[in-house]
Amino acid sequence: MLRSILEAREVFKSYRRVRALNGLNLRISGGVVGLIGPNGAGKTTAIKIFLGLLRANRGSVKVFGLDPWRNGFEVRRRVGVLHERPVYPGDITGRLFLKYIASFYGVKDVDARVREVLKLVGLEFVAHRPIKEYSAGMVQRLGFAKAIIGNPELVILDEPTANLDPAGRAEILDLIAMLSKDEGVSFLISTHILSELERVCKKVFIIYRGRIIAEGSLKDMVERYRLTEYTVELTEPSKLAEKLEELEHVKVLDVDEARGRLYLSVADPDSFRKTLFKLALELDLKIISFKPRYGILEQVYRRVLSD
Amino acid sequence: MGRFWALIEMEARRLLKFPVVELIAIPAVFYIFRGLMSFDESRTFIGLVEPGSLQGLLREVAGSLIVRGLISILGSYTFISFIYAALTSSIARDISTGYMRFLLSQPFRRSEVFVAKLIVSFLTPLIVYFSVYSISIVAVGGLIVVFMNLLNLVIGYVIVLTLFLYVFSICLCITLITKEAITSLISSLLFLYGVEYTVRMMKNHPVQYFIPSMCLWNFLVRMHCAESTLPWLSVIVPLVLSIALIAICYIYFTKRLEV
Repeated sequence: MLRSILEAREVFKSYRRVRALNGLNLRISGGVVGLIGPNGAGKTTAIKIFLGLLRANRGSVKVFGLDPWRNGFEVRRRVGVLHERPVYPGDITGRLFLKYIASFYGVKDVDARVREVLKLVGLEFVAHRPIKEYSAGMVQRLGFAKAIIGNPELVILDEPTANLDPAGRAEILDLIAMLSKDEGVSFLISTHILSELERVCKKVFIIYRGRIIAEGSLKDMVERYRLTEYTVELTEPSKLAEKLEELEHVKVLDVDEARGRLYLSVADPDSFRKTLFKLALELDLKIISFKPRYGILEQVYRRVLSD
Repeated sequence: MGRFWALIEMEARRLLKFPVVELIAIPAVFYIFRGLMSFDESRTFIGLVEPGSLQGLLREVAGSLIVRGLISILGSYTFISFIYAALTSSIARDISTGYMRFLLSQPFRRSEVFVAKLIVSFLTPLIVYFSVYSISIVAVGGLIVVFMNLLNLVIGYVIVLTLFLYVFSICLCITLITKEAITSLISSLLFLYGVEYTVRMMKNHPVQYFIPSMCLWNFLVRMHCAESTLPWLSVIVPLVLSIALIAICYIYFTKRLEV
């Protein structure tokens, strides 16, 4: 059995009348792990408890075998973090800020490490500017640099790609994958942009109303919650929709005539694929694509929540 | 650079950016120099000196410099209150904006973050005042400082320290209670000015001997009059009270504060 990096057992946390965590159970052994859930599900509260910023009302939390509230210093030495909507000292330059953070972690060659990390996140050309002059995307990159500069064993990222453009998102996700693979850094990523997790995550936890309602590897999840909603791109979708409504195990969800799309709920996609192409031939329609309506994870997530 | 000093440096750069130190130093210079250059008061000291004793005269003038400098610092109570209310309210702002969450997520013990905040926000005005006070005495007194009673000078520093600790501890408590910058600033000022005003109104009431700045004035007047028994409790009680308040803030910050 793998040694757990982070373990939460029956964790409860309330803010006055609001119960943020309601018996959270979570165990992370390494790799890139996703924590997904709708707004207000308790993701940020859980992260704050893992870092020793909040104290759980009940339950046990261990990070590297230590209680983060009591042994916060020992835990935070080994953890890098990027908070949601981070606030940094605006008057100092990005480079100086990272130098301070590297010093906090006791990095040996501070200047070399700062240069390396700035290059990794693509901020080397603006590193001389005060942070207050950075765009939201640059601040997010700086936050990511801050999270990894101390060579932590675990990096906790709360909405890591918020405010980033698509290219920036891809760069950060590639970095996460690279650091996990080459340097063995573990990541806990909290996000609601599910397509991101699909690219990098080994395992996902779905949190809802303060508890984990589903967990497993992405492959297991896909098998457990079979994908049922598909999109067909074709010419004249309404024509095909009429025919499909006569079939069992197929439900037409929506027809988008303007974009030439048909949204379906399909019980057995493999056998339906043959039927679909056969019908298209009969009706003389041209099928452009047949693919899942949502990203894999998003569809699993929707299924879990609807259950 | 050690990790703790890196933290202090970062916090100092953030909090003490231009013109914060200048805004503390300029009024401090004004208050202290004005007090030291008050020749009307100096004349009264000369009257007390035995005829023919030049050394006695110089000792009295040097002693008067210490007292007048201290009186001018106590006289700037309103300004000192404002400085500390503003500096400690920045801690409340850090909590409300999420900056404290960033700091406490770094590899530090909470006690280290507390001490760093204390060093930057408490020591800066104190060092500025001590420096201005010391430099001004030398600048105004010249060679006369040689005749200064060092014990009185040390007592003077203790009085200033007591006043600053008292004001700071109250502002810090209010900051950690309110956790919101503007509320903290206004509440601290209202509390400090309110207490000062109330104590002044309570003429000859024993409470005057324990609440700054009145108790420190009383102490200073007796020291100035060279009374044989000084009311040490007037310094010790507020000093202990302030340290106790800071200790409570420390325990709250390190053991209870959630961000």
